[in-house]
Amino acid sequence: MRIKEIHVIEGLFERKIEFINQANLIFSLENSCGKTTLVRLILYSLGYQIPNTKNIKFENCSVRCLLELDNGGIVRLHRPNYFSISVEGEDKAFALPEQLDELHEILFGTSNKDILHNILGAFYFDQEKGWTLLNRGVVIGSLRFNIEELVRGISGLDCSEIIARERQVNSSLSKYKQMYSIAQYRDSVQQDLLIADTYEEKTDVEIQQLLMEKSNLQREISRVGKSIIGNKKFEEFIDEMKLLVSTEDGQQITVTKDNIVGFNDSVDYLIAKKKILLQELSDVLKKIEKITSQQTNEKKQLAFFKSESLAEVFDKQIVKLPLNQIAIKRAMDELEKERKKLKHEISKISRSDNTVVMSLYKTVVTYATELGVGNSENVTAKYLFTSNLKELSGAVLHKLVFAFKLGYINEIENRLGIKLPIILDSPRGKEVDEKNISLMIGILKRDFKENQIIIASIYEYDFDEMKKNEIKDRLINELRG
Amino acid sequence: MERSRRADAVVFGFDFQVNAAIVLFLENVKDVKSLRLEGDYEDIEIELENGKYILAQAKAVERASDDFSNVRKNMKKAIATLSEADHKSKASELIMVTNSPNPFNDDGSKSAFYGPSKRKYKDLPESARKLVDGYLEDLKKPLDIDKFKVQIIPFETDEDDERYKVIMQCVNDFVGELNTNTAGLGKKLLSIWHWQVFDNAGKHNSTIKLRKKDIIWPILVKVTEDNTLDEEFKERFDDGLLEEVRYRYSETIESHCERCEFFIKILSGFNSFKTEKKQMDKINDFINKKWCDYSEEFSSEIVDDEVKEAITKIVMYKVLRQRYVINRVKEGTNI
Repeated sequence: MRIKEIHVIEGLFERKIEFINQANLIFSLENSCGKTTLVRLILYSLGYQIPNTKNIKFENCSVRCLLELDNGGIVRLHRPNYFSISVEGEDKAFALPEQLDELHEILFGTSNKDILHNILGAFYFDQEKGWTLLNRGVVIGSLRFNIEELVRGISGLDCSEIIARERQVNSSLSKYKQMYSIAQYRDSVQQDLLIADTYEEKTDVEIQQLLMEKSNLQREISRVGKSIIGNKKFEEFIDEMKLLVSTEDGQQITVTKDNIVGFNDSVDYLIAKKKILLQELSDVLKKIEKITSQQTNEKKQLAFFKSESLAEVFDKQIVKLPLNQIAIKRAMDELEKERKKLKHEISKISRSDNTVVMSLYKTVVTYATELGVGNSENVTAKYLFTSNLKELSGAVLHKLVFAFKLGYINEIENRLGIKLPIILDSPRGKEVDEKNISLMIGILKRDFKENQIIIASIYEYDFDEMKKNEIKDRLINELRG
Repeated sequence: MERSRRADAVVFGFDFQVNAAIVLFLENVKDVKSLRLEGDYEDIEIELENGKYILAQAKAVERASDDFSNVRKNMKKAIATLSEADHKSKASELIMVTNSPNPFNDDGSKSAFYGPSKRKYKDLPESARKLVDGYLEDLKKPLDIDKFKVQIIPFETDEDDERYKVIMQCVNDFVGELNTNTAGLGKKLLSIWHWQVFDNAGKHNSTIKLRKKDIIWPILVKVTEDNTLDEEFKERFDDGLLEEVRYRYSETIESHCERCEFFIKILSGFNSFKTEKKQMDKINDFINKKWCDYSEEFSSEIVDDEVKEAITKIVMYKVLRQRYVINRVKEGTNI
């Protein structure tokens, strides 16, 4: 793929820059003229979510880009409102970022997401992050590079299920982390708040208890009422029976409620009992009424004065959450363990295609050796996946990154049968001297002569054929016709 | 006692009147027929079984310990009202009841009225007697001086425990005499009595009349409540079983204790049950030997034999104990 032309319009001004298939230099004598902006505009025009630079807001610009694909096809891209491209004269529109993969499928000729998601990290060297991005990390903005993913893509290996699970675990883990920090906070405020229950909580509990008492009393009153009615019926029954009994001294007497032992007492007893229950019920009802009206007043006042600050309300709500620090920690540890296991598994699968890994390794070692930053003895195949960059610094890391990225480009090109442009923003880092730059340029000239090279720099570089696009003062400087 | 009746002096005065009535009622419990507040003649009218009355004028002072500004006026007024009532009714006692510890605002007599006290006219200190004499002289028809008494019931502050301490003591003494062995009964009773009086007070007719049984029966209910099973009786059951039965079958138990068809059977059986043992032991002996005769009553509801036995025994115990307590309280109060 080659970038033939970029045309940027901002308000009344515009700038069209054409590129050749070989080396291109975006040049300015001084810094801060717009070189990086132009590089980023190119990436922006390819559909990527690229952060603005200080001077230009990309969404305010109309950016048109003309590409030549490896199959000879010509593609015109146009941002920003909606992304449209024209392939061989046929217009297509894409919603970004949702359809970015579909767009890139056309540009790079593959639908393999692992490759598409990592391709930018291979061919683009960002001014800030690019020269320290060895095998994992941020390419630019929120775009990332991951060597395992790329290798998997090139090898055609699929572990999407494990990755999906890993994503789940990560998402749960981040939830648990939030919960854990809330639980820690909760425990820190709980002490104070628990000592003094809020008025509302206290009265709510009281009301609940009183309502239970009320219902028990009502049930008991109804039961006693039934007993009273039952005894009354018994009394009527006795009256109707007109029973006569004879006493030991021969007297005959009629049985009435008054001469049945305990009968009248039971009537008085039940009436007294009912009265007591009614008294207790009346007390309970009064208490409920009192609390309810206090609560209503309280609520009215609260609404009026807003006596509690937002932070106080928050604390009270937080304390109500049933969060257990220890249980959360335990769950987090479990998830962390699973996450490590999944990572290990993914990494194992990613490295399982020895052909791709070895081929990549060979290219990297060759260039590293040439650049004087390692050889097959101190750089092993395993080192490709290293996480330890601490001991590397300055020019060593700079050159090693260069070697690695050329390795990636090489592997991608072999797999996809295309040529990628190589975009280098400020290749001369602070500590890279002329000699090292020559070595790097030498490699490009020798092994990547079919690739389009775009360099943004305040220095000049020695290529056989190089188009120099100079930026003076500002990037978009031509008044629109 | 949770009622809010302290809003003003009128409410305070009425509260004192009610509590003074309770004290007077309990002091005369054996002879009382009924109690009337705000009656035809006086603030407090206690009708006795012999047809006579104890009439009392209640005068309360909110800050009784240090405000004596109106006590003489109160005394004079009370004597005038009591004199009037004496001629209209068959009074056996005429009492000026107050919470002031210095009802005559008189240094010569105040030491006689420290704490709860009751003095007949003849027992009043000289200076107080003179004051009474003075008030009587102004009246056309003075009261019979032999019936006149001055009674002090300390009653002050907004704290229930402090305000009602003397009344509480009086109620507890009364409950103690009944020998019912129920903790906290005094407080419960006072609360029920207050409620009965105040509930009556809300009605249009200002007269509040309570029969003796209105006042006495609550005692019986409280004494025989379920949680008053004797320790000795409880020991016969497994703790778990007893708890289960009392928790799950409390309504069955209570209903059977209250239903006359059933309790008459038990009382009759108990009456004809012969034993050499004393009353309480007789109850236990009867339950142990005869519970099977009554357990059929529960067969439709309860399948478990152990539970059925426990329920039958508890019902029998409660019916008989209730009878025993009722008899004793009735004797003690002459109801």
